[in-house]
Amino acid sequence: MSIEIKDLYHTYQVGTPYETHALQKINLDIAEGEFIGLIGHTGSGKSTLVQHLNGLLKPSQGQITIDGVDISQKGIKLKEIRKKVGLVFQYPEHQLFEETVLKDVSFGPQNLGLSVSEIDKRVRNALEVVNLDYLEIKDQSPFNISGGQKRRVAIAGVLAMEPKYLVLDEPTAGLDPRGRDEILAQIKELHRRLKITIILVSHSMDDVAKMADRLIVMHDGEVELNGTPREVFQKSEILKAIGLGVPTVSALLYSLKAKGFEVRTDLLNMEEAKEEIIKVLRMRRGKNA
Amino acid sequence: MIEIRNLTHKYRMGNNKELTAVNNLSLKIAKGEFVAVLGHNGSGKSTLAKHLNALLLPTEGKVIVNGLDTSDAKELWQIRQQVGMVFQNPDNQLIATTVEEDVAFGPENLGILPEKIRQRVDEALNIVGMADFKTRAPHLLSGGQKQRVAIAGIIAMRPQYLVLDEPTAMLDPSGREEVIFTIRKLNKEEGLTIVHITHFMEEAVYADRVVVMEAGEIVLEGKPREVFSQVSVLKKLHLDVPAITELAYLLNKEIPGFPRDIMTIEEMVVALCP
Repeated sequence: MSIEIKDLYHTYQVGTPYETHALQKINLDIAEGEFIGLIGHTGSGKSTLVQHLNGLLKPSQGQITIDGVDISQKGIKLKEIRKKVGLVFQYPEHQLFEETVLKDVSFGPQNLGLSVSEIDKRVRNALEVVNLDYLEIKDQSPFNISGGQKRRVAIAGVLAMEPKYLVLDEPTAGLDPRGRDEILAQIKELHRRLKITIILVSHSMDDVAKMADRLIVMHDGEVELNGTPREVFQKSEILKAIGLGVPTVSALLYSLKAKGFEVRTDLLNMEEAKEEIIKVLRMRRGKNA
Repeated sequence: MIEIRNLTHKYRMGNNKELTAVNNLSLKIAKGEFVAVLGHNGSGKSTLAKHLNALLLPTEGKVIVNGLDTSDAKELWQIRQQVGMVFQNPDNQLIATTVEEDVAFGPENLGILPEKIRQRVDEALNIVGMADFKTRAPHLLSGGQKQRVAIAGIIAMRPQYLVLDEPTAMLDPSGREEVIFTIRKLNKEEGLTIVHITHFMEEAVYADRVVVMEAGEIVLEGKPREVFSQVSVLKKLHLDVPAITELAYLLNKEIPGFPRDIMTIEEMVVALCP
């Protein structure tokens, strides 16, 4: 099963002088179990696109099919779609509203009309996944915990819906390096252990390079590049032209190569870069000897 | 000069407990300096910053700004005029309906003559590169633009010190670049003293001095090069090391004598292709 997007267009404020084409001719397939990094400049259409995936926005034109169901047709039960596709917005902690963490995380599953025992099970699981101690945190006010904890509670609220597909819009924005690493590790875990399909919207090339199987790069409402991180980061010219740049490691390897230091340029982390640089250094020494 | 002498700040928590956010910290910030303060959430960075213009007052110790004691209520206006602050969320800092009115708000409150205000507003907007936007509505600007307007609002008050508390945390990469460019320019060309609090190590590379905080104390201090070459210490503190410095560190482990204090791509290229 999968998400299929066919010829999707979205226009804001149609028929007014402010008419904006936020999305144009988007065609994408996202298979179950994939880990997708969705990147693009502010205003490139990323957020508009992800809001289509659970029916928050309706296409102006085109079709979105989730597990075989066309969600843009009339009379579709959006509740069913939202059970499948969980959406974590930017700064999701702004949406916390209940008196206690327990109530907040339970809110979604309660609306699904599940039994009390099932809700309880899901809330415990969701809090465990985001690495929060159920007993310690459940009765606390979600407004009285640290920023990183708030964010994790908000994510747990979406996880408690047990979505098959999880879209996270800039989940690490505004967090410190420790908070960022924790959230990213948990997302990786969700993908690996629970086999949830992940669509991670990010500005950080370094983060997506480390995590995603496939990258979708958006620009001006269209899909500009679509491929594995290695493939995408080879197109440094295009990435630079649309104001995105490449991960630090790629930028370094390109600079080295330009200086005649014959390294591969399709490496994704500093560990790989180190191996490659040492290999080249050894070869050079061999030649000189 | 700003002089922080044995500063301790304790927050009172609900349950009769106290939280020591800054613990017996001493630091001097010279005029014209660019100081970056690093540390993860809860390390006391923001608490320290809020002492620099008397938004918070010391529980113990003193903060002296150009000879003025921040605990002396009479000096408050003087101090706030000399030390301007920019916060993380640009949306919380803009109040007016147009960019120029927003920038004029500070100088108006200082009781400056209207024609002088006009001059200061234009000048401030020019410095941050937002002059073309002066009649626009702030809420329609990008994050980076909003933050530059917030900075203009501060520099229109002609402070000597600019304290920025994670000004780029909520911005996208291009917004971040705009703001960093502006901060560096203010320091180099306008001679403003900068105290820049950030999580992003790449931003701290430009500072004259880096101060690393942990549990309310200063744990590392020095030139960016000196501080960043302490890769293992920074990792232990859950801080990032600039990616290039990390590579230098990895190479140094394999190739004895390889320089460990490399901070930028250009420097790395020079080290490998002499």
